[in-house]
Amino acid sequence: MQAPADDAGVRADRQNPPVDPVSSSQPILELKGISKAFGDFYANKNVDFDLRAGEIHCLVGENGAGKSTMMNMLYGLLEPTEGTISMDGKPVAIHGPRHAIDLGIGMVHQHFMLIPVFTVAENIVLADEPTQGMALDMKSGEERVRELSDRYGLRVDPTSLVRDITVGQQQRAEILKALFRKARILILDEPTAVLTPQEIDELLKVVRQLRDEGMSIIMITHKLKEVLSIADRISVLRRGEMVGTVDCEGQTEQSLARMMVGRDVLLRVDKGESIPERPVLQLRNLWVKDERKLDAVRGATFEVHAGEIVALAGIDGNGQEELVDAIAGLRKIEQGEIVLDGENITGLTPHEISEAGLGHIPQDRLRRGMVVDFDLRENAMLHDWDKPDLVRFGIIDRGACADRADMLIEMYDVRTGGGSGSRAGSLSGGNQQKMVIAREIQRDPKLLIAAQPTRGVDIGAIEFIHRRLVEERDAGTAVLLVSLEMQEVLSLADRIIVIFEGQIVAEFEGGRVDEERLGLAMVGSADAAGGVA
Amino acid sequence: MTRRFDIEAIMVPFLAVISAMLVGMVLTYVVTGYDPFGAYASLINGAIGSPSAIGATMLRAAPITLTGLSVMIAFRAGLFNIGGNGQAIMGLLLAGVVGVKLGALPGASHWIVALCGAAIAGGLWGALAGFLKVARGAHEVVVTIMLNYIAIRFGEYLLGLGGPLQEKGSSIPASTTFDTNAQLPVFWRPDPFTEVHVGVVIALAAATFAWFLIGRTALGFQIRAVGLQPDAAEYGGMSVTRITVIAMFIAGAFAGLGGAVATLGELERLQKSELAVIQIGFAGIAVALLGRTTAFGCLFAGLLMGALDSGAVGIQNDNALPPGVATKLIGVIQGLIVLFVGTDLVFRRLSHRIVGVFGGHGAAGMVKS
Amino acid sequence: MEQFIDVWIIGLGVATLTYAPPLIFAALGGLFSERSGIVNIALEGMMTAGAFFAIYASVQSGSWVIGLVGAMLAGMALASVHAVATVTFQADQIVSGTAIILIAAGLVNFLNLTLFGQQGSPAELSTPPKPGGVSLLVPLAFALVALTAFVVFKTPFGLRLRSVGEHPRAADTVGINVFKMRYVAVIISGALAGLGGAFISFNVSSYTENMVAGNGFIALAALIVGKWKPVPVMLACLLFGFSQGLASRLPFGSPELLNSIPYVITLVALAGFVGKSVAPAAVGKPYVKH
Repeated sequence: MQAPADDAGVRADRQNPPVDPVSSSQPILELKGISKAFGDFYANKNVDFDLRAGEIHCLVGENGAGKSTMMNMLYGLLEPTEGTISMDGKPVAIHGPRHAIDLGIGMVHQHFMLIPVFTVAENIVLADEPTQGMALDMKSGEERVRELSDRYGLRVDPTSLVRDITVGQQQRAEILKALFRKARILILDEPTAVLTPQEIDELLKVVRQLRDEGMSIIMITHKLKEVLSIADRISVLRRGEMVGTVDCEGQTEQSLARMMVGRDVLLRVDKGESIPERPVLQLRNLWVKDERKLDAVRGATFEVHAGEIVALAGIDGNGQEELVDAIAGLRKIEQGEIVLDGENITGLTPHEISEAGLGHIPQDRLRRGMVVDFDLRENAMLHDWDKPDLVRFGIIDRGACADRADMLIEMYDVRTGGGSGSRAGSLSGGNQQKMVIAREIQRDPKLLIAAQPTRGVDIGAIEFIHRRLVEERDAGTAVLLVSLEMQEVLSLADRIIVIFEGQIVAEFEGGRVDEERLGLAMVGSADAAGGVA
Repeated sequence: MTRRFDIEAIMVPFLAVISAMLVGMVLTYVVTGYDPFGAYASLINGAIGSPSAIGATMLRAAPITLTGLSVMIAFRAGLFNIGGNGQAIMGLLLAGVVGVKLGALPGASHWIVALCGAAIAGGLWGALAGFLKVARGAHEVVVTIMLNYIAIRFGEYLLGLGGPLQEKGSSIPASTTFDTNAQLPVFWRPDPFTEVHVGVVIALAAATFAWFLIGRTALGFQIRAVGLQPDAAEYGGMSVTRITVIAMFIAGAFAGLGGAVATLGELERLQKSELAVIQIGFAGIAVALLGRTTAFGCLFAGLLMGALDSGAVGIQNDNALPPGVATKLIGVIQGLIVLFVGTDLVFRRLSHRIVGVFGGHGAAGMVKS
Repeated sequence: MEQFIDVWIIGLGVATLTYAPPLIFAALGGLFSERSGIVNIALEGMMTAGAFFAIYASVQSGSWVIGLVGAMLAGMALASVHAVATVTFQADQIVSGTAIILIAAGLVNFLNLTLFGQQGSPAELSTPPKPGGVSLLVPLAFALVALTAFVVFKTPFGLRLRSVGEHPRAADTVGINVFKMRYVAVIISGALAGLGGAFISFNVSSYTENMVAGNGFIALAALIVGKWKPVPVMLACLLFGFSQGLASRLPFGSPELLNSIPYVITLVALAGFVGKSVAPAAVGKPYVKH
């Protein structure tokens, strides 16, 4: 949750808008009719966008809305399928990062492009090194980095190794990298996602200062409060398309959230009242770390009862993945306890937890959920390589496996090229997901975790999957739905708990909350969390 | 579980062999000036031209089929076993110890015990590499290379002058001769100099066993899952650590068997000078890649490589190339086969595993906003 | 006492300076390649090629300098194959390396037999002078250590080389041509490994089969034990050279077991028992552009 002090700081800034934010009408950068297709899938479709000199232009949108794709095209990492990019009124084709740099575009990637074992200065000068004769002149490199860092208040020691400094300092190094290359346009891809509130304040201050010195800035984020505090103009992307561009003046978090989510009709799911029974999943003060050894789940406590669908809502990267992995035994638990239907499963192996009654539709089916190069028979027995009905004396009963796979294919209407002998990778995303869901439900779990069960799945399959989850609930299973899609959460959940920065910040009754309040809770807005349990 | 008939699976190795042979032909002509067609005719004749040629091919195929299976099993578990040489040496050393020191075992039990010992010794040597990988994060390629040389030096120590295995009172750095019961029984003599021993049957049985293990058993299922997608294997409740060590044990056991078959079948005693030139582990890499890392593929590839080896003898006998040159030429051809097959197959496999269909750093990172 | 000094101090010193330099050349070669992200287990093969072509070119030209050039070119030719396979076609670096080891062993011995016949190379040929019993190539090896340290750590080229081996995408985003850097690095490694092979064959004025005898793999080991840094790598090579020298003149114990010291030390280093040896982060992984 955001600290109140931070809140006040944001408001104070808003009261002192910069004197003349938007100086020129000629856009420094313009995208016209830009599309980017990956196969049949359009990550960007017919996008128009312009950046004026000396403005901060925020680009907002939900996960998967196509923001990063758009920026990668600007930086020459991807080529547009259609459309033109113009700079200073002249069309340009950006061939690669070097070309983008030469055109004066700098980009701070969401995942920093820094070399951990290099010093800050080495990272910054790389490919534009100062030399003395044949030798690298790191002294003058460090000097120039220091000058830049003093001038813009980007405090970071040029001689430290990148791996030894904080994430905030790494980000400053990334910005210095762009400044060192004399960027006129600076792209910041989700710059605040990894920062502490104090670091965010500092970053926003720097960004304003850069703007005031004439830099044109595109900032991608989904934290609406930050957008309102810093943007001159705001563009909203939804499902790869540009919804519109508005001046920041007069916008509210509510108005932006509405643009982001859209006014689409909710996907209707027929479902009756849920009849929650005994608690099946109980989390008590769960703490889990992520890959970087930072706390990703911080003291989560909640329950899921038999016969209800509980949705864990939140913006991507707020600890959902780590939380699910911890329940499934795939990630170490630092502290706390997990109880599955009365049995303490804390610290058990994935196999034991699976035996204890967990069904798990993993978030990333192509990495975890199925072995892409296995056929469907093999994928159907992914957990069951020691079950006597499939394997006897260590030898697989191929007939039984084929029967099981055929049954799953039939019951869940999985469309395959060659029946149960088809390679999993040859199926469409929706059919792969159906197969995973079929397998997990057929194991008759007490708790079913469905992590983003409809990601990358076509509409028809979405409805099918939703119906199955409701049926499973009605059959008395406890269902924990993890979803980034607000609509999915709203249409499926009997109860919604919101996770923000690893903490459970709000809880709502399903059907008793609208998108705006839910959306505000998901971005960590304190006033939205009216329904806290 | 069923491998659909895949024309590419046949074509790629076929084209690789043909291209490598063509390069060998050009090399023969340009460098030696000899008639490449004559040389190749002798090669084919030496490989399959007579019963004894076929026998020789089978004899040469046996050990490298076994080391090929070794590389194949490790590969299926996602590991590159470049340590076939070392595992073979540990195997043949133990087989030699049994063959020399346990003089009292009756009949066939002697060579059977020797082979079992070889499999265990090779297996432990392989498992050590697997263990260092999962427990200490040491990359198996460099580890197995080091273990190769440690095995060579260890064997040289055992067989060196005054070493524990060296024949007492002899000035030759070699062991005493194997007990006759320890030598592999011969079941076919196409001519007085060609004695086809049970090693050939063992290689055939091993390939069948490997096929069954990989395709039909729960262990093989786990090995393949760990090799293809460790994250999915973990999700499926498998212990990646345990499976890795077991797979490397099995791989090492095959290589150990290969070493023992080559020794107890072909030689009368262990010789120090033989150790450093043992190359069946490397040949196993060629066999596994050419056999597209399937069990019966290894069998065919082993036969093909064995045919090239015995064909080299054919060239030698016919004087179709300058003396000694034929085996070197075959070496080049084998290397080229690895290069051609390896670059293609592994490129596809790795691009699959690393980039992922969608899940790697590439595509997913771009689509995600 | 004098005999002791002769045999042990001077003898061991000379032995170390005989065994270590080829390791240093090849390990420096490996350093360039692996710093750029390409594993080069084929150092052994490149050394073998260098060993033969040094003699061949020297015999043909009558000049050991040309011999060295021949050795380097031979190493570079094999390295180019490795670069094409691993960088352009993104083949597995181990498979490509294995292939090159096999090809080099076969091809070199094939050429040796055809070009020199079974009696081998002529006894008389031009070799690098040995003032005071120490080959001129010895100081060259040490000079190359200094040069490599300078190039890798003190020049823009070196900074880019290391960036490509650590985080090729980061290097790409600032406009460094990852493929080009890797090609250059792998080919340099071939030239250096070729020199290492030349040292071995010039030392005995002839090429014989299997004379490289695992030195390429010991060089690889030295590279790991020396943690991919020029001076520590050199020290590892000296240690390994010293242990070979010691093994060859020990009146007691087993020379074979002593000879396995480099490999055991490397295993211990790999297993992280004496300070983890960390390879360049991107080593072994093909770089696939967006």
